[in-house]
Amino acid sequence: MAIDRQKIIDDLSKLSIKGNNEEGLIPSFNVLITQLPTEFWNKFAVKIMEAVSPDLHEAAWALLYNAANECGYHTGYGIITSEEWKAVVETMVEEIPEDILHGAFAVFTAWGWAKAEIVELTPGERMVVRAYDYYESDVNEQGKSPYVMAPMITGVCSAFMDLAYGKPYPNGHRTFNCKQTKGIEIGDEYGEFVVTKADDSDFTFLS
Amino acid sequence: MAKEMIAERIFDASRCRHYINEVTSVMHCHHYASLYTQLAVDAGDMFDGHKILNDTSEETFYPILKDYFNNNKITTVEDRVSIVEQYWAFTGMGKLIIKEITPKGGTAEMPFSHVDSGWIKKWGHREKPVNFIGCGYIAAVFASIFDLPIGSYQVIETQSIVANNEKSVFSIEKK
Repeated sequence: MAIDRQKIIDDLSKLSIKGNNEEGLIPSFNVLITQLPTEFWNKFAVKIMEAVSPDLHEAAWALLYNAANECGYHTGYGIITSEEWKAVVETMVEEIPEDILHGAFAVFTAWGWAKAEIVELTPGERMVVRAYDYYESDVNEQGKSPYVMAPMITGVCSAFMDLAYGKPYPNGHRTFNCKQTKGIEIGDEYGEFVVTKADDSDFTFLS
Repeated sequence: MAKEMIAERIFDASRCRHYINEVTSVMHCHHYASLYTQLAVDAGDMFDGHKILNDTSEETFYPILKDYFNNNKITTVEDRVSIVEQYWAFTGMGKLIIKEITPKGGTAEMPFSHVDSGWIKKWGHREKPVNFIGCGYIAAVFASIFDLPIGSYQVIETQSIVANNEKSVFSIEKK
């Protein structure tokens, strides 16, 4: 693998991003970016889960997953076609799409989404991602979560596989599913995310 | 002369976390904010998504603004207004202009808005406003500026970029 993950993280995490004075907007990576407190995103997700009865937890989690999954698909495409990607990552890419996938997870880490990496990859079939530190696990600051609570990482993992091995953008969305199998927020050492083909899965989010 | 906002940015390489003024922060894109907003709009019978998103915003930003004012000795209304406008722009959420402000309420405008621009990029215009995050932030702004408890103000978006208005306008009233 030609991807220098640490260099990507070092370079992209140092970008000094702030809203421009005229509009207060941050156009970057082919999208508009915000840099908000992680508590905002976590609190919204937890409030939604707590607002519904237990029989609707699966459905509420699916809504959060879908938001991240669609975001991950379009933003992921924006990232790998951006000027920032071309400047930092593209010169390292030798094997397509595997190097692109590894590079995308390095960007994922540099953005502050999770300290995450691919630990297993069967091209076109299956991917396992581990996250050793991620902001979604901060929900356990209020006590251990009753369920895994990283729908953002889960949705983005399957979206990145869609981009790598699905039909060309924008027609490959939802080729893959992802299930969070471990979580720091439920007491595990790390979060684990297993991506498989969508039609291979008897799919549920919460065990 | 209004005070300039201080933003101390740190990337903790050991945890791969970004901190802005010691607050854990993360970059997300307009797809994510738009999809969370859509989730709030479409929640239907499952939950009151509008209120949850509004409250989440107010509860998140209120302590951040209060801490900033206290830690940096920002005491006058004029300076506090300047800081909250700068903070909103710094986060990439748009350009906020507090037009009128008294303890009883006021008005605010956003000629540029991340939520509205993102929504329009994804789905185009719609009839009703969608900036629930902005409403929550403005409620936090008024409460923190006047050292009142969270939940002291009601904010209504009366004009909206997403609804084809030139700018978004917010009416603020003390509850």
